[in-house]
Amino acid sequence: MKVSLKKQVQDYYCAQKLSSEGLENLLSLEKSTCPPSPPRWRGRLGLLATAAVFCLALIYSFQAGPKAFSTQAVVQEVLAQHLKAEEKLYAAQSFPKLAQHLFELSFTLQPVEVQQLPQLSLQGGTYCSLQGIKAVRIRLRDQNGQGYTAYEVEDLPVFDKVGEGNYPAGMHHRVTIYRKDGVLVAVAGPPETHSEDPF
Amino acid sequence: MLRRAYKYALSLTHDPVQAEDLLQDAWVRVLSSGKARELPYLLRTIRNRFIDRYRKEKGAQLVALTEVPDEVEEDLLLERSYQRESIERALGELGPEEREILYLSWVEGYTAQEIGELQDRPRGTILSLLFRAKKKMRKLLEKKSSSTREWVR
Repeated sequence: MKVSLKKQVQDYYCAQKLSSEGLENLLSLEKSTCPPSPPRWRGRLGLLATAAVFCLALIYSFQAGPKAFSTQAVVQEVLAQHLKAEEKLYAAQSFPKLAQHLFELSFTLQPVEVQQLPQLSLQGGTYCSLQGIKAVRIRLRDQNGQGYTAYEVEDLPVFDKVGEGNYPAGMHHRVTIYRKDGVLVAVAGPPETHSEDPF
Repeated sequence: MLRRAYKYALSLTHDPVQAEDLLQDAWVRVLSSGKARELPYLLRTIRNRFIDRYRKEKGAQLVALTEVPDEVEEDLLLERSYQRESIERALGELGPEEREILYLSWVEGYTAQEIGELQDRPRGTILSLLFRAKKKMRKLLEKKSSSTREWVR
């Protein structure tokens, strides 16, 4: 009996399925919003954070001059974005893989390495901006599932006044800033927990 | 739509992991573009991303088109049914463009005109490519079939 090649190829492709994990990932991308600029804020927290960032950026822009960003402006923007829950990300489990997606950058993506922080696993990243400069926002998680947000941006002269260190950012959060191979990296993590002495 | 787009990406990459990766990449671009989330636009984005990323990396060449048949036979009848693995292997030996065109024509039911619009190519070129892809596919399957029979003897 003669058999149709077309039918056999159709059967082959009909049997190929997008994994449920892959489909969920794509649908979650659709649900979330993260345009490069300006971001659309969601919820009260987002609005408050926006207002706070705007005010602080305004204040510090007067202090720091027209073309220099301050440490606090960077810290506040990183924290505000860290507090946003959902966004579209290029999912990736390694930095080289993520770099394949984010190939339009003017700098080389750096693995996030902070000695004081626990081992972090990469979740993904996306294009964004930091103080209006094209940057990458990276989401990471520690072993307990706690989320971290890292920003990477080319270390341009406008960031000269941004100091390296570990800074309080409000709401019990801290932001760590460091430089590596011409890239300015800022990392925000979960709020600090202070165990109260019952006595 | 995403499931269909995945199969299309698979027809290009012939690798499930790369297909998901390619689809995600294209999907993020479609979502960011603000344009309507429609299948033709998603397919075009997948194709463009594939050309940008995979074809350049692997140095795949466009199939040379020297002859354009007037008509392409509708289907090819084979002497026997093949196992899915044989079909998969044969598809894997086709070039990405050949797989893509077989997929669009046979699975999605696109006409040569519609494929030409997706790929910005003349209908005649599509017909030629389709003709070659079918012929090559049949040869691959028959070759594998005969070599298997010889081995059994």
